[in-house]
Amino acid sequence: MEHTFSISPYMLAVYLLILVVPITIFRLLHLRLTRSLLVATVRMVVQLSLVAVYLRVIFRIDSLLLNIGWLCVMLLVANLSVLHQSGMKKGRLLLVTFPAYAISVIFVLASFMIVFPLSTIIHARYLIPLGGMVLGNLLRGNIIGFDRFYTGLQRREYEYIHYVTLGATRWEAVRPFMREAYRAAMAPQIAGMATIGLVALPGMMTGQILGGSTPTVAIKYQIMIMVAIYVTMALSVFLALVASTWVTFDCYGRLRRTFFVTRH
Amino acid sequence: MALELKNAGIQKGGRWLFRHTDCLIDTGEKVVITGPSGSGKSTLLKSMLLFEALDEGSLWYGEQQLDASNIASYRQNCAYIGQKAPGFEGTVKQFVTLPYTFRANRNHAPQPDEIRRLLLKFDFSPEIQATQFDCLSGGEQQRMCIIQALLLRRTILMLDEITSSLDAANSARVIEEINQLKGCTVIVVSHDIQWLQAGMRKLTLRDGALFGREA
Repeated sequence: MEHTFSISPYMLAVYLLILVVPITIFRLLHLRLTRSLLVATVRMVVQLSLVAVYLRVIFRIDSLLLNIGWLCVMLLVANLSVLHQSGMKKGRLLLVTFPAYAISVIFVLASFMIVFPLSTIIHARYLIPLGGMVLGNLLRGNIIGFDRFYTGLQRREYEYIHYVTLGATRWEAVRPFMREAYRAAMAPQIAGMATIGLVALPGMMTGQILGGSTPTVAIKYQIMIMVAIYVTMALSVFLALVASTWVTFDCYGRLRRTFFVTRH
Repeated sequence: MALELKNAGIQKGGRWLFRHTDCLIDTGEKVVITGPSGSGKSTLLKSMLLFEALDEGSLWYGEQQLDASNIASYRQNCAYIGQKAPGFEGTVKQFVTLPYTFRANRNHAPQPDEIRRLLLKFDFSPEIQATQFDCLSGGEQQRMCIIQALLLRRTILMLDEITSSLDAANSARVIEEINQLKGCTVIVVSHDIQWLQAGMRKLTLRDGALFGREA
């Protein structure tokens, strides 16, 4: 197996100069995106460099407790990010959605034991990247799910009240909104699964091939991770939305508007 | 039973939408609440279901003051219909019988004759039951919502701007049908002139106060 060519950090820095292309286009269009792009690039470089340092330490120590601790931190960051980006306030909502995400991720990580022996999966080299991929992909679906669900409920409150006065329980009355949000969150993922490999080579597979794995090994991992991501998303969107309704409604069945960040 | 708001008030963004408001609506009475846009008409209507919290005062149904413990059973007497009918994928029959898929109504499914009778009363052919609900016009969908409520024997209809998206002819038909309902309390929020001329008791919400409250 060939060893991966190691990129020189100086050459990588030089490589970043090709960002001049989008920046030139922004200027031509009088589009004020240059600053955000530069900030995002600096953040990416700093965050990834820190991750490289952390991961080196975590891989060297390779303690199960430390690995679980690291996953919990990633889970918390993912959870905060979902709530923030979907315009929800944290607080009590974090308390009910965190277990929902934890259950989903634990379930899927445990399901990896079907293909890996337990002694393999608990190693940082497997647990951290697989957990990271699953968590990273949980974000998108959950942001869409939360946004659609609560925007729908706020904009079409009359529909919710209509159902409640017709005798629906809270669950029965929010179900049409949940169905809509769930469809919006899950459908792109199905489309993505159906076209994978045709339009683009997936990241994990590309990484493995560059890292020296054979394409056969790489696609097996890819298939497994795609299914894992889908199941995590399906479970987490559902559990988190259901759990959120325990706190976002009051005892009169009214949506508590204090949970929403006012957007201007 | 009569529905009554006593000394009710609701604040929004530090401003009182209405305050010190008393409003008694008798059984079977038909009332239209009107007023300028943004005056809080819809909020007032929703407060009669406690879907808007009262910052002051109380809501009474007969002798009973409504709170979290009895609100659910009170709401079982009411039907709230908004500006648009809910989006629904399925046939008209599935729509009008949708409430019977809810746990609370599961054992009270209506007789097919009852559905036919109401469809005829609202000038629909019974064959319409097989039509897809989303193929109906806005006005037809609103009338189906009313049929849905009457099938459940709801005695208080709360209608929030239900004719605002309908043309004059369709509005007139909905108003006429509602006006003819016997034994049903109807509370309408609208600034449509057709409702105001329909012979119902008129209440005006303006500058935070409700006028014309005498029956």
